[in-house]
Amino acid sequence: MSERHHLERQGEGGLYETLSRSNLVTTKGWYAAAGVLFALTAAAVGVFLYMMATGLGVTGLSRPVMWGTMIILFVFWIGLSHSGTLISAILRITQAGWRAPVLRGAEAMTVFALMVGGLFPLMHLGRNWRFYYMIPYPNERMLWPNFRSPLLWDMVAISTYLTGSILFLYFGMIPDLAAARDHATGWRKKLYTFLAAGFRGSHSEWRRYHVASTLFAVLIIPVAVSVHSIVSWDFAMAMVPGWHSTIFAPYFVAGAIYSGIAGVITVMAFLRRVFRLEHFLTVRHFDNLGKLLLTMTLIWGYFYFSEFLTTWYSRLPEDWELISSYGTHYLPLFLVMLTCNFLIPLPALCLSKVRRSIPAMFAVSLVVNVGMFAERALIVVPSLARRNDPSVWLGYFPTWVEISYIVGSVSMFALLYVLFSKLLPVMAISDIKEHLFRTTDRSIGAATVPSVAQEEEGEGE
Amino acid sequence: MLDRRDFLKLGGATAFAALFGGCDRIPKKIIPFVIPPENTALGESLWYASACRQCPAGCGIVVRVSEGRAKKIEGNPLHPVNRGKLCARGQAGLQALYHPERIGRPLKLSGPRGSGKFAETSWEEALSILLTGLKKLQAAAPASLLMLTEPMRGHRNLVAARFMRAFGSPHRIAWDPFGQDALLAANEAVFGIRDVPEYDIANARYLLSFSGDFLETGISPVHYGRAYGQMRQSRPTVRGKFVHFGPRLSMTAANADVFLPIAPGSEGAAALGIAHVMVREKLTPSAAAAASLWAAGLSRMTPEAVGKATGLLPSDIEAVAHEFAGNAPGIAMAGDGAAGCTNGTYNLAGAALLNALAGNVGRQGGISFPNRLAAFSRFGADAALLLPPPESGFASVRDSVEKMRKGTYRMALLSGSTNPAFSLPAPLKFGEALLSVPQVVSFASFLDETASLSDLVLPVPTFLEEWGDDIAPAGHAGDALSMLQPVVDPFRDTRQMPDILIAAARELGGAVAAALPWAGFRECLEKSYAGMGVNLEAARRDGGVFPGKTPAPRTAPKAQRPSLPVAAEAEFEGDPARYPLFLHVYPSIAHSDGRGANLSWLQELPDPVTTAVWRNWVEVNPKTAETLGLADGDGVVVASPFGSMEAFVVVHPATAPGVVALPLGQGHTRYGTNAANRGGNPFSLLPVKADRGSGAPARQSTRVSLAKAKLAGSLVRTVNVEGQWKYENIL
Amino acid sequence: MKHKWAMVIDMDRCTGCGACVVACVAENNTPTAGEEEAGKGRLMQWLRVSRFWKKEGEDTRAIFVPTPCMHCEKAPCEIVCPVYATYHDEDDQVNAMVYNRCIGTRYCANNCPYSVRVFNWWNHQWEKPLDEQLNPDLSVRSRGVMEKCTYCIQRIRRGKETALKEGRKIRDGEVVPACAQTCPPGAILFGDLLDPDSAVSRMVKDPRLFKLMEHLGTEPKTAYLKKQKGPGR
Repeated sequence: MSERHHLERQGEGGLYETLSRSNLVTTKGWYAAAGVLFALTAAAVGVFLYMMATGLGVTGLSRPVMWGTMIILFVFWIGLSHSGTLISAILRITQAGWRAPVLRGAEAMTVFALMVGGLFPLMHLGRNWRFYYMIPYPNERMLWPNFRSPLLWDMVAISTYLTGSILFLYFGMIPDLAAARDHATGWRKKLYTFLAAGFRGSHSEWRRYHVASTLFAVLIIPVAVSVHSIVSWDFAMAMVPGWHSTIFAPYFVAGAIYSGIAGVITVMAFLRRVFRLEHFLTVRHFDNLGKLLLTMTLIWGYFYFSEFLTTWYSRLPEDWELISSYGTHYLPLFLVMLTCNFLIPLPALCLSKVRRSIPAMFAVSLVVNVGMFAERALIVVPSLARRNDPSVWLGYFPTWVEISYIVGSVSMFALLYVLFSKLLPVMAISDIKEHLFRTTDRSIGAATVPSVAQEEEGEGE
Repeated sequence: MLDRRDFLKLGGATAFAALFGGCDRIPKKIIPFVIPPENTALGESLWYASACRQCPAGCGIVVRVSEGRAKKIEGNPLHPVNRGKLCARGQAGLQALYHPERIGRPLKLSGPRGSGKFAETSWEEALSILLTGLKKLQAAAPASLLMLTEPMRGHRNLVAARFMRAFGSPHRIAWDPFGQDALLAANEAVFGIRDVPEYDIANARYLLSFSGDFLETGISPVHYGRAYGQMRQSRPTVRGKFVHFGPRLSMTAANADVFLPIAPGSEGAAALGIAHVMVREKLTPSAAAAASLWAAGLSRMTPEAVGKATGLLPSDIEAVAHEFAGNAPGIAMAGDGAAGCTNGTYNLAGAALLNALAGNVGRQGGISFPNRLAAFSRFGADAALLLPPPESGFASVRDSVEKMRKGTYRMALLSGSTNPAFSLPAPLKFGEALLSVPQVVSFASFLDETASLSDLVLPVPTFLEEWGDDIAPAGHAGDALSMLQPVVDPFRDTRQMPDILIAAARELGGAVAAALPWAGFRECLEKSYAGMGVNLEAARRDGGVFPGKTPAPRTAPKAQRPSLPVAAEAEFEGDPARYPLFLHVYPSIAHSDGRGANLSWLQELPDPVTTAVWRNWVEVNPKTAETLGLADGDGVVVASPFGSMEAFVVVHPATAPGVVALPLGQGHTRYGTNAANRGGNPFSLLPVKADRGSGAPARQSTRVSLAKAKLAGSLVRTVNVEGQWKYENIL
Repeated sequence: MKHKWAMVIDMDRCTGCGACVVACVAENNTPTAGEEEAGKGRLMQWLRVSRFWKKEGEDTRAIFVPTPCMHCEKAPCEIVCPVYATYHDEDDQVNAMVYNRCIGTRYCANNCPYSVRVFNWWNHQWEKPLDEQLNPDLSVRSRGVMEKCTYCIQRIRRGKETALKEGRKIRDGEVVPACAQTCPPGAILFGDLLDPDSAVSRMVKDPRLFKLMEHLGTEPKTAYLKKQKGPGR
């Protein structure tokens, strides 16, 4: 059943109810899910407190592998966060007609992935309680942080991106919050009234909203690109064989978008199923996202190949030690990465059958992110484990502490999503509505014709 | 609008707090500065001179003392043995002083003998136990008193020897697993002088070493280490060449320009092969004049024959002979690996013969025999007690074990760090025999395997809290006298063994009291040196008396006409079919025979060659490992006909095939948490065999087998096994 | 008074004995890691003697490389620290660590090609009374901070103070780190490169001189003299 017919059968209130189902109905399943996720997250937090109290010795880190799972997770989640805002912004700017149901989920994903990912650089500090030394605040020692350090760029970039993404998410939500305010009662009414910030849906408000959201979308793209470039520079600026590479910035951005799109697909498939949004998130959306993912598979593969080829061909001794370790110590990880990131998704996504099958897309998206995790691990660990001085070479394997962070980060991300779905409009109601109205069938005389309405460009204030 | 802005601010702040809020904590302590602030004055510290007793080399030390605590040991720049330098073991002496497991009060056995259960007691009670025992013995059978110590020197030895003599017991034994018996016997045979030579390595142009690990263990590693550095790079136009023969690439061998692996126990043959070429081709005047040697059998030691016996290429033997003869002055020396075979004296005599043939005796850059006792002539017969020859006492120990079993001894006084219950071959069953002695009193700082077997343990101070004197066995012209003084107040309630003996003598009265007529050991030293005209204050300030004028060295009567060592082949226990591999044991650089194993700094000092820490290993040639199906890091059981132990395999690319090497030092069952239960004790694999020429313990005298085994834990090495081949990467 | 401290390690003298390692541990309050931690690559020693094998088979040789901090003039560790916990000391031209500034990002250790930096994974304890030995001139580092060879900065400072008190310049050889002080074969030489007459200034002109990973452009101040071969020069 198409959206169009769906709208015909429902009034405006019905549409709201369908799309806000997650807010309105609290099932036992929700409680169970939230409970389990909360427990897992709390456990990981407990493990972190334990690590903070005893020392980083509880991890598998060593000399020379001073960075490990926590940094892998950091890069992974920051990468995943690129789904959202970036996709949403690009789709908004390009006015992709099918974008509406994807937007909110993707934007929220960005915020939550950033929240999760942003924790890890702080968690991995030897003295977490002194993290504020990195913040440029006036102090009695007249000391500023070192602006030459990529870590500082990193902190600035990520906090900017987090702020921007939260604003972007919130801004896009305002009309929906207004709608929610109009329908809700009790404490929700108060909450939405506050959050909706007096949005009434007047013509001028809508106009400003549109201008601002376009502006936002344009502005957030460079931030998103820069964030992952800077994350890559944490590595590329260091003189570590395997890290020190000029291609790292675009390669990381591409990888981030790749894993981000896969993440969006995963989340969409999940939301569709859980909140019964089959009417809004249709096969068409998955098909389109699948095409995007296919593009990114190719781009990622190209970058990886070109990075690998130069190192392999030039055979600089230090680099060669690293590359050759991919064939020995890190062969399993390397194979996982290659299979999950390239060998499976490439042929699978070429098939429209796969792209149009939601379970298949769900599976492919998961596989891609497993591969991306392996890729991050392969970037962080082997380069350190095979440093310039071969006498200190050492292996690395995460301890239970670090494994609990992997579990905890996934559950924290899911928990944030679950809470979000309960509290705030999880679907971009106004965008969907707008899209539906513009594509509604209208009766002209005896005939029913699909109408497409579009605001004219450059309309006056 | 304002509301919304405020909200956004608030939202941002909340998110930030959510991220970071959990981390805020007030630090419990102030993290100090590496560079202190300008107004912080560094405290003044004092440096006291003394001498090191971490090994028998007797280096001079200066100890930094700050606020009554010893902080750092450094070499005494004035001391001729080490000239300001010090080895890892010497540095670690501080850890013995402040060791958490040091015995702080006298201990009385509180369980069955050997259980290691002791209860603290007072000095009064402990001394009364000791005295009661001694008095009873003095009345009944004074000859049934045994005193078994480490080799002692200076007045410490004088007091102990006089005590035993006056008490009426001949059973005074000093046990040193690394005694120089074979060297003494070899020099007696070749040169007619039973002494340890001085090797002037610093001025040598050519250095030949036959399993002589003089840079790591041996008689004076710091002295020779320093000299080695000078030999290499201190002369503007000369760089001494160093060639090493031996079954294992030790740390010393690794420093050689040429390392030539040979079969275990064939060092003497290799040396005689070189001698053969020197005499045959009349390469030096001394060699040309050695026709008698040729006739006596040197003619049979052709490079080909020697090559067969040693595994060397005849051309290598020829080349080394020519180089050695052509690069005078040179030195040939042999060490523990060669001396520890059943033909040890032969091996060492071979090296000594080379020195004689090359005309190296008595010349700069060669070897000489200092007149060590010249400075102590006023002591008469007692002079020899101040510097006893560095013998192992192995024969006496074996004899004493027999006597313990027979019940000859009623009481035993044990002292020192050589720990016979640990460092004697297990088949001797020293510990078992000691338990049959009715009363055993130990003078010890730590409860090692030997002290644990006693009834009474009297805590003695570490060398940093002791009065004393010392004469180093090597590294000086024979007249350098070291002074020991307590650099800190005794940290525990301890008494020096000589003090206890002097006090006991006073109580015993009679001849014993007359033999030790002092109020205490300090007075003994002071009276004795005052009699010699030594300014004790200056001597203590400088760490000893180091006269500038050296006494003339002794002449070696036979140096011009040396005699040919009696050929002897090394014997190995064990059926070659069942035990196919030769066992080569060597003292570990950190722990020696095991005395350093209780110090964590030494446990954590990576072994130079294998870089292993905290545990035992067995070095296996890669080919041997391959045939046995062993890989680096595998656990194995090393079995000899006398015992077996567990160890981890280190594939050592430069160990001779068919030889496995085990470091001594680990494998303690007692001796504190750092030492106990770290692999097996290689002494447990050894037979009770001696060098035929000298009676020194023959440690390199058994074959072993390796069997793969699953062991708990793993061997920790600080170098990566794969990366260790990639030196080029760091250039 | 400016100085440019430098170290020259003569590999033809170095025997690999490890005296320097223990001297460093004793001087710099370096904790013992213990067997388990050592197995995880967490030895705390500031100076390691790496042993490499050269060539396989008959001609195998061991080569010992004592590796302290290189005190690079273009130190890669300094620029990456976000909080200036490691910086270039202007007076002494050494690469200094400020422990109380360090937050433990461990970026410096990652960016050090010589892997000489060690991290305090735990709060190390000195079992009493071993703590009586601790050098009062420098601190015991707490959990979560990075540490490394300082060229025994406390000794440099003491030497400078003494010289200042006596109103003179520091004499060559007056200030030596613990490793150089104890090294039996005298393989480690330390001194001031700004003093043209110092032994180090002479040694850095030796044709045998090389530096580790020179191609990386870190300009290490710890240099090495190549091992020579054969008799004579």
